[in-house]
Amino acid sequence: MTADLSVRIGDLTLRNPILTASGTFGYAAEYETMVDFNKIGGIITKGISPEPRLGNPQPRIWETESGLINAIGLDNVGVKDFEQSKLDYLRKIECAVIVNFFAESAEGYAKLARTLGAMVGVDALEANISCPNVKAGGREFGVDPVAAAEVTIASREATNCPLIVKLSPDVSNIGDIASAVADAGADAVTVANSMPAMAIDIESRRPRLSFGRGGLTGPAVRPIVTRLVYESAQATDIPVIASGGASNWRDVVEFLLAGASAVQAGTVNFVNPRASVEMAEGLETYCRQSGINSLTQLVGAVDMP
Amino acid sequence: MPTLNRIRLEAVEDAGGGCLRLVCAPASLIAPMPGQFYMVRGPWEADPLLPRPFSIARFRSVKNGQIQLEFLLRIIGRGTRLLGTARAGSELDVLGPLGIGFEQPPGDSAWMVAGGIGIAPFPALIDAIATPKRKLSLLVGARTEAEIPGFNDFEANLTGGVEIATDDGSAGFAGTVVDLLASRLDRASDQTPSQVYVCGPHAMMEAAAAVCMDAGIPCSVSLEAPMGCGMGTCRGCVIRTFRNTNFTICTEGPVTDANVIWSEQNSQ
Repeated sequence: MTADLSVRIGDLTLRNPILTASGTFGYAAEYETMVDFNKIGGIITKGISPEPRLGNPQPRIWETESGLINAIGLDNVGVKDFEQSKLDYLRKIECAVIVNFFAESAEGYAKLARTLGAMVGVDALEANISCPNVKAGGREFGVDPVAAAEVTIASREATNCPLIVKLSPDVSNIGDIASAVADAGADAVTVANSMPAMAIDIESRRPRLSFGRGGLTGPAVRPIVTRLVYESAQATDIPVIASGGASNWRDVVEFLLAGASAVQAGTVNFVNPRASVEMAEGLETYCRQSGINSLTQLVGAVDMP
Repeated sequence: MPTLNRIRLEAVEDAGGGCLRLVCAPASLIAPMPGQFYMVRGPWEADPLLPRPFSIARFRSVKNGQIQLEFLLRIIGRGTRLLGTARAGSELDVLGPLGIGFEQPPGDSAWMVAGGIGIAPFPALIDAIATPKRKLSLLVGARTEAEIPGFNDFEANLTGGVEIATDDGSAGFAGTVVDLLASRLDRASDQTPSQVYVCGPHAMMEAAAAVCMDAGIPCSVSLEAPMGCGMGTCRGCVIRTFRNTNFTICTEGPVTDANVIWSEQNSQ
């Protein structure tokens, strides 16, 4: 018997819990020859802003032990070009299309949520309130429960489209932010964005990245994100979507046990473009072999001491 | 269209100048264009994490339509060390061919200008553009003679000759390979190349491009920047052009006309 791996995010049903993380999968067309979109739950686009953004100068990425620090700076095509040149392809693919977005004010989030939420082919929105790599790009909203709620309410009132809010890991109590965002009307939270980080060239004494600081992703952050997912799931009843270092189906199962309802494949897409499909297939095999009929048997099932 | 393949490493050979040649076993692959690249990674776990970009150094079609790939590398960090010390028979994941490669030169003479390991894409280019009447030259520079990569295995097609430049004057022209390019252009005004191809460090390519622009010679460069995905999605290898637009090296390059990146005005 095939296990029911489906997941509900607001009104949206994903066929399985595997999503591709924003900023690691372009606008999906890039992976057309690599990924069978029928096999994954959905894709999340690069973060879209009201206007196109060039992003930061070189260098933008620096590899560390089992991790990657990036300061791309939200380089994206902007909402107008997204609709004109990216959306047609996204309408054709047979998995959920979730558009990540950000702005510089609550009003900006509301306006963009209204525009994107009304586009045919957009199945859900992910509000980025947590990018560490721009001076004004959301993170100030993500570290304060009141500001996070304000952005969520503004976006929520602007659209009926399922709304996910992507949280910052760099907070003293992520449960407070998760519950504030849930109370403000979010359908789910993504836990979490990249971890603020830094690397220095000891010869030049300059940072490795042009922006100075960056955000750490990849397997290096996974245990920290597992803890954040657990705390978020304890604090709220809305689905928690894990994002941070998952590389294979075992990592997916671990995140589910911690309380995640879905899991994003992020940096691993760079390591292995087929990883998201392999994670979905591996999860299905694991469930079949373990006699698991529904993901609800796994979500939050960690046996804490 | 790129594909992801697991192929076997047939041999790791000394390529001279501290460089190594990774010779892959023939496999069912899409034939690349010279100047295209692959993201290469060994079958290790999470560290080092990302695959590393390598220009295709050489490829040949063997029996049953199989393709044999060769990459040149210099050990500069953990990723290249693991690849350079891999044993024959070990496996590699190769994603490619990726990006935009070199075009044929418009005329009968072309020069290739290499900064150190920047020689990597030129054997394949020479294989692709060599004709009996075409005069091809290689200018190759490094800090010292000991760092000049070998070129014996493709020298036969370099009918225009090979010239070496070393920063310390230990072999050939004393100075940078860009200085050598400028002096050779001065010397050879009657046989100006129809095309100059440049590959090396970013600043060296910018300087070489300026020399070519001054001389009115088409110059194509093979660009490099830290690269995460090779597919245009991580945005790690994006550089700014003189027009203040973004250029995504992995998908719009790595090979492009120098005047896409640098202004002809600034070269004066």
